[in-house]
Amino acid sequence: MATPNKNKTNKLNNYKVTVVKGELFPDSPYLDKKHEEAAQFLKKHGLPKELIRK
Amino acid sequence: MKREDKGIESKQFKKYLTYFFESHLNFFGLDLSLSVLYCEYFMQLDRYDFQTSDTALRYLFTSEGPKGNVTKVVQFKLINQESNVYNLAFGDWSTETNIIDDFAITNNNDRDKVLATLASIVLHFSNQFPLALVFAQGSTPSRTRLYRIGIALNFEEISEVFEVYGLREQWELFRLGIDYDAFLVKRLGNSNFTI
Repeated sequence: MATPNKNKTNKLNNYKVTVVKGELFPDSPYLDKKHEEAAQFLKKHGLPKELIRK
Repeated sequence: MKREDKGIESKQFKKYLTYFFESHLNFFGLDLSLSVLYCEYFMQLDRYDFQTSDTALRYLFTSEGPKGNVTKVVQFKLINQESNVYNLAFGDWSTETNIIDDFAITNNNDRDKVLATLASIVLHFSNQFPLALVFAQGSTPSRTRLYRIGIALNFEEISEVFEVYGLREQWELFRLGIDYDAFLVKRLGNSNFTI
């Protein structure tokens, strides 16, 4: 495994995050539906062959 | 020139660049090199601070703009256990109605900042779940196109950390300037950033 490069800068890292205990927002039927649709979509189309775990 | 005018000019310039690069340069092999320049232009994008739950499966940030403050939420959910695929769902949360959806058009003039924030959220999530694959698809074709723009805007940074796939008829490695129906990202094995 490569050694972490402490000098490496990547602008994606330029964020500030706060970790909050518990859930941030209520369960959402809308998001649940989106997850279900995504699962079905993925089942239909499969994964890139490079990513299929054997 | 007033500061406001400069802001408008900058927005018009961005809009022009987006149109120019996305519509007119897909020939003579120019689109890739010019798209890279385009990405470099936008690399200075800032992003919103965000919050995450201690499970690192839910994220929240606030979009700020002329339409006021809009709470944006992101939720990751395992949708394929065998291959460890998590779906990224994104929506607006109205704290008044307590409803989350993704059909509202916010028009808060901060599209690029929101997309850059999403990219950082995926990075944070992948720090917690480095072996996860992240699947993303917009709620409408235009929202999916927005994700593509988000990936393109941040592609130089994203590609240092992730392998990105796009789905057309089949999955393929993401290329700039191509429309896709969905996206999958995988954290690269050697992308150990110090966060």
